[in-house]
Amino acid sequence: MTSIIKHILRNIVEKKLRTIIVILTILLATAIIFIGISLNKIINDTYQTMVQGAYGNSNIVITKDSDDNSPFYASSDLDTKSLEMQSQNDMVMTTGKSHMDGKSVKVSLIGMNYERALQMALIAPIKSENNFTLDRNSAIISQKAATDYGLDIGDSVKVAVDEQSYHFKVGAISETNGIYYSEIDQLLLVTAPEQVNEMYGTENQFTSTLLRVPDERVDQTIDELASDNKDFSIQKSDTMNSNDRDEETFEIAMMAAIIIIVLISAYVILSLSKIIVSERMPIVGTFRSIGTSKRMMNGLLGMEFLVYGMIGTVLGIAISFALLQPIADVFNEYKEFGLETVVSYSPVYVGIAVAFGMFFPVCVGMIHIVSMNRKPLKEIILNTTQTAQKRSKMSSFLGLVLLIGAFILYYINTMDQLLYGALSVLFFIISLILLVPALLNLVAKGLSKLFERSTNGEMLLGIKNIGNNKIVSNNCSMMIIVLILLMIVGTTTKGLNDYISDAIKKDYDIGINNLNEDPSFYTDVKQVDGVSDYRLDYIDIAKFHPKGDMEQFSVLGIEDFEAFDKHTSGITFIDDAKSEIESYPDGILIDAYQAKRYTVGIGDTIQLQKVDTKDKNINKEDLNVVVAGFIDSYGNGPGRTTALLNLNYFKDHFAGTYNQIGVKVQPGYNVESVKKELSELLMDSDAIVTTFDEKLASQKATIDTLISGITLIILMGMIIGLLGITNNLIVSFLQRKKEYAVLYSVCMSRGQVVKMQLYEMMTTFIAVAVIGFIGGLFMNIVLGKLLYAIELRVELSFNFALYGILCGIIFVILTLSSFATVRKVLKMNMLKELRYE
Amino acid sequence: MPDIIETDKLYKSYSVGNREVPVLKGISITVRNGEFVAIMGPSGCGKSSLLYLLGGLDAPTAGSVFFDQSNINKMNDKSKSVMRRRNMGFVFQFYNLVQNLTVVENILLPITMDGKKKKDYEQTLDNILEIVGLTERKNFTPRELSGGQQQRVAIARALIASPKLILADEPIGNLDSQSGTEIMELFRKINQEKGITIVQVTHSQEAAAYSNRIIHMRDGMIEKDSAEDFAAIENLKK
Repeated sequence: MTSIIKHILRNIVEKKLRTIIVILTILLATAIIFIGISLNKIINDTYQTMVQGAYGNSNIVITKDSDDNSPFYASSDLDTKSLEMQSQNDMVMTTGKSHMDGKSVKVSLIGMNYERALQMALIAPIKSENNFTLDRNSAIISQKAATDYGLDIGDSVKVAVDEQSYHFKVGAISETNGIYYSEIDQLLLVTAPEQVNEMYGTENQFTSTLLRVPDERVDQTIDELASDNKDFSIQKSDTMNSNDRDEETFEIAMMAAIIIIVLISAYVILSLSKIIVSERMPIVGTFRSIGTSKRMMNGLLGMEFLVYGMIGTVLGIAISFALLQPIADVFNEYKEFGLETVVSYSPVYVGIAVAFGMFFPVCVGMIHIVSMNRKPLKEIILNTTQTAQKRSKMSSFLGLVLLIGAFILYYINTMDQLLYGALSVLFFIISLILLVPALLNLVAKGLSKLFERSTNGEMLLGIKNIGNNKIVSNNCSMMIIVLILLMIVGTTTKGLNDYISDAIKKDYDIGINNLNEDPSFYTDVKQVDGVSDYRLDYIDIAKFHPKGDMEQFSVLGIEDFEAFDKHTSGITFIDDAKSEIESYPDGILIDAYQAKRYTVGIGDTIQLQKVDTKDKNINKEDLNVVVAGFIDSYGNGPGRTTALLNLNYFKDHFAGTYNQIGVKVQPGYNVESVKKELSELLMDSDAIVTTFDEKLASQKATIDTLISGITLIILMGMIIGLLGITNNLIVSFLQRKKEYAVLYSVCMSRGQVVKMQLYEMMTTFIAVAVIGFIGGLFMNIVLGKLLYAIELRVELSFNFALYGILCGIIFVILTLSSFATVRKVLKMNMLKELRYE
Repeated sequence: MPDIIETDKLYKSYSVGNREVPVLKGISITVRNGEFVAIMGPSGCGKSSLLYLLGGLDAPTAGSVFFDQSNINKMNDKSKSVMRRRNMGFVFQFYNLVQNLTVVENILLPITMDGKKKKDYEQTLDNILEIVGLTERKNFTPRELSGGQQQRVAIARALIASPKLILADEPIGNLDSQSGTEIMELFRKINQEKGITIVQVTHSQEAAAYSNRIIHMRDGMIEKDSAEDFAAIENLKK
């Protein structure tokens, strides 16, 4: 056993470049898998921390029921006598504004008991005055606020609430967590509840209460509280806010990136294992000739790959542990607001990555190991390696079947379902891998036919070799597959970028969201200097569920469809949709794409389910609406999930959770200045004022973050692929030395051998470029359905720029490796390769 | 008969570590046109090294090799390859065919690399395929042929350019006795009917028996040359 291990280690050390490539491939694949599967949980946990942290260690939140006109209540109004409570914190909140660094800043004032706040981990002072107490006119600020506004202990902050001004002295600075997690784009001051009551003109009134009860009693406590306190809304604190992460898209994008990396790694390891195994042939021959069984040989050779796997896995896990924090930070959109990324190292995910890293190279390597050991013993002993490309009819047939299957799935996937979309793409990739040898042969035959009258023997042989020389064919295959896989990501990225840059229509300059009242209430908006016009958008969400599928729609309530059409370029009406819907009080206009997808026609009745912000059904009964016509809502969102209702019907059935006011700015006015004035006007409300460009930038930032992460992963895949290609090209020379020597001995000079290599290089490049281009075009088609399935219904176009770059990189690699092999041919000892002594 | 090959005090040594190991020690031989020469000797005596020097595949440490009165050692690589393509044919023990080419493509390699048109050699190709008995297998790849058949392809490749000389290194070393006999019969036929000079390196007495001259080598030197015996007999006859 020791001698076997020594032998294996010697093999590994012997071919340093190849060993490095194999280990690097395993390292990167392991690291990417671990990081990829960990990221979603980490980001979720991080946001959950933010959500939960805003409520400290409480587990129940109590507010007045939204049906009640007044949000205020006294502590005694709440019946908690029967409860086993660990702590209770009553809070009262108001908003105001301040001026910091010459800018208007929204201020949230939260009055609460200091000790209870500490107990409930809502605040964590890191710096405070001596003997600090939270009295009138004193406030606790966050570390982030202190840094942003240059505030320190003893500094004064002037806050205007309604018409009154108040001065707060900074008495303590807290860590930017707990209640300060909700301090986004505002200044949050924790102060005495008496002072906040004074601002309202009330006494001992509160607007929310946080409770901490034993975890196992939370549900029971909620039930008890609900039955004793009918005027109150009682919820678990971890369900209070949902984050707006598109978790599904993130997961799918990560999974797609991981799959691509695994495919590239598999291909590289497969290719390298072919070389490793063929080099072991003489040893295998010797062992087998002295009686070692095939099974034992399989195990022996498999052990070498296991060693590669072990080394690569250990390094991969080590690197992924080191990189997980910084990479997770990149995806933490709230990092700049002080939210620390909650990184955890799940043993399950480590186990998955380790299992993959250790056994994946063995599984891949076994393909060639078993294949080699099946060869006749004489062939193994004499190491008569066949360089002829074996084009298995079965592989080509299977490839053709899968290719047809991919397009059949594409055509039957009328509902844009994820499973069919994913299978279609997978079938296409596998079919390409299986068909590439046959396609190369076609290209070789085509070029041979084109040049058949030529007497340039080196060119004719070079062209032939890409079709029927196994080694050249393998190199081509690897380049084509890597090119196509990288084109997948490039095409998707371009589609998303193009959508953000070109397709989204700017129908307003400034949006006012998070409205407490009906949009029509905000008539003052028109009075703001610079506002030329504004429109009231009544928006909510509902689920459409035909055929068992559930897609979430944005539902808009429209009063005047003509005016809406005039002011909106992101949504266009098809045919007489505008006039038709006015004759249907319960009519709905849906996107033509959705109508086609669900085979819904004009006059059909469809069901809508109202859902809340947490995607839960609000009513048990569905709403029946009649399809009155179709729209094209591509410019309003890539999902094409916008639907329009008559405003009356909307108001009767929807709460308008996402109502907004879209403001147009007069020409010549600065949008930022108008935004500032609107913000000041609405300072006392919860309304959020953002410019369209800011909103777009935020959408773009989210997509850019995702794309950056995926691009990084794919760049690593490119490195693996390129290393594999380079190694293949260098090693292919070693494998073909005998072939070169034979050609030299019977008919060619060294110069002619070199020329043949150069013609091979050119033909390889042409084959890769042509097959890669055609494959990329077809991939575009099948990829579209997959993206549609994950609601990225963007128009895909072939990414010529990326294609050009990848072809350029491949050309450079081919050229450089050709120069390296040219030198080797000129110096090669031909005789050594010819002799068997 | 003019000499097709002449060597003049040929020396060859190889570096093994720090040592120089002499393999050929002052070999001077001539081979006449039309001869069928067998070079025999124990392993390591330098017979294959001599063969490769005669074919211009290797360069001597000292001495000269003349092919058709041209000094091979003074030729550049391109000229040597032209000489090998047009005037010589090589047959190796393990056939050394290009695996990814068909029988026809392998045979036509010297023609293709000489920039000639295949059409001009169709008749010659057909004749040679008939001579070697592979007409029905002309589109097979080497993998699909037996050892004997592959060696025939190698011989056909050696013949296609109508060479003056065929150099064969253990041509039947990898074949069964029947295939070996067939190959040697083929060589005899080529030598006698076409007048092509053949120089073969062999361990086999049976193979050597087909030749009309046997050179025995030992330790890098000529031990015995049957041509000298023959010359002596001729002199005696005179």
